[in-house]
Amino acid sequence: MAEPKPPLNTLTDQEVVARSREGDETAYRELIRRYERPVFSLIFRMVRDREIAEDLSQETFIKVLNAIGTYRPEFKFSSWVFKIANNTAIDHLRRRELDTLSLEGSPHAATPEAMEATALQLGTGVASPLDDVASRELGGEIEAAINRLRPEYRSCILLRHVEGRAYEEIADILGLPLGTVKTYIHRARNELRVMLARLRE
Amino acid sequence: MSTMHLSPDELDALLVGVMSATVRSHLAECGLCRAVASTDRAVVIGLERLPRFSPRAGFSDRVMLQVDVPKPVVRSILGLRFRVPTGRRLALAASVAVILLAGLTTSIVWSLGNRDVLAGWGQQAMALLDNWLWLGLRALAANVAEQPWYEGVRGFFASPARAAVGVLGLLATWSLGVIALKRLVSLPTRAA
Repeated sequence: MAEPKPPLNTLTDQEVVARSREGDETAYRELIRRYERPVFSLIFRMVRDREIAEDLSQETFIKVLNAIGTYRPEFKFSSWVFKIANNTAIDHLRRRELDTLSLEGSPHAATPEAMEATALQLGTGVASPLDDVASRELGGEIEAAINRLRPEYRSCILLRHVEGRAYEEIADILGLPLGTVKTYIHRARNELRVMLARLRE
Repeated sequence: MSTMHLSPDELDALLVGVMSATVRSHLAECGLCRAVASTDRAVVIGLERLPRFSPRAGFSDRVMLQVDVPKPVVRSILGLRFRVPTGRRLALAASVAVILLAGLTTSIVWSLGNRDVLAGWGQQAMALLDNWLWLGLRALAANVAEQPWYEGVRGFFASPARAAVGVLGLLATWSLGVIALKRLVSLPTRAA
């Protein structure tokens, strides 16, 4: 008799990918469930527009899942997903030349309601320390400072310190030499330090 | 005090809690590096605490509407699961099957058209096998007859009564062996 399949949430990314290649639709949904928040957060912080971030995240997952047959299991699945997400966001920024935006909402929003809908909602889905006013203020200041970084610095700093990726993985995701990634991250931290100091003044 | 301030790599190491004696002594003396390290730490903590955002509800449904899920390639027949090959694997499996089928068909057709040749080969093979069998048996018999214990065994079985006892003993040993083997290989019964 056939053995029962183990639950998807107990499997590694590679095993879930293998199941999706067998035509298991629930495996596709599991991959989306695992990566929708990190991918959406990365893209949202890159483009600063909820609607656009939704579209680009959707585009990312459609690209990833329709190309699942070409994915090579010797590479990290997360690196592959972030690479596609980052390229999708960067392509969009290049098309729109959209690199500095307001924390209060999308510059493309036509009405105050649209501005509100596209604004960053700080503190949502965060652990209790962020509910604290000081943390909210710091979070807001950091979000504002991130907005002012160059897109390539922004990708590096978000992948390193928000997504917790290793330098080597970031180099792989962004297709950059390791030394360049380290330089970008150090410069981004320097700029953030200076900007935060100015914001606090 | 050293005039060289902390390098980016040393500042990075500080963020993960690694501090060499040199760095420690430099930090004790250099207020600028202390301030940079402290602000760096605050920035990184702030970044790590940034919230993750979620797309609107129904995101996975919207994605799945535009994803081509391949048809399941695993079939179940009588409770046994078989992986049905697709793409390159299907082409490879089909090629192997065609080659095997073509070989089999050619062999049958050739055999039907060359029965005499086949019969000749069969007779030659049987004669060869017969020869090998006899040679083997004769070699075995000669080997046994030359053994030191052969004369003793032969003498024992010369009397019909002793021969009968010996055969019965062998039969009993064989039967006991079969019973023991059956017990060993039988499935354990579940305790009530």
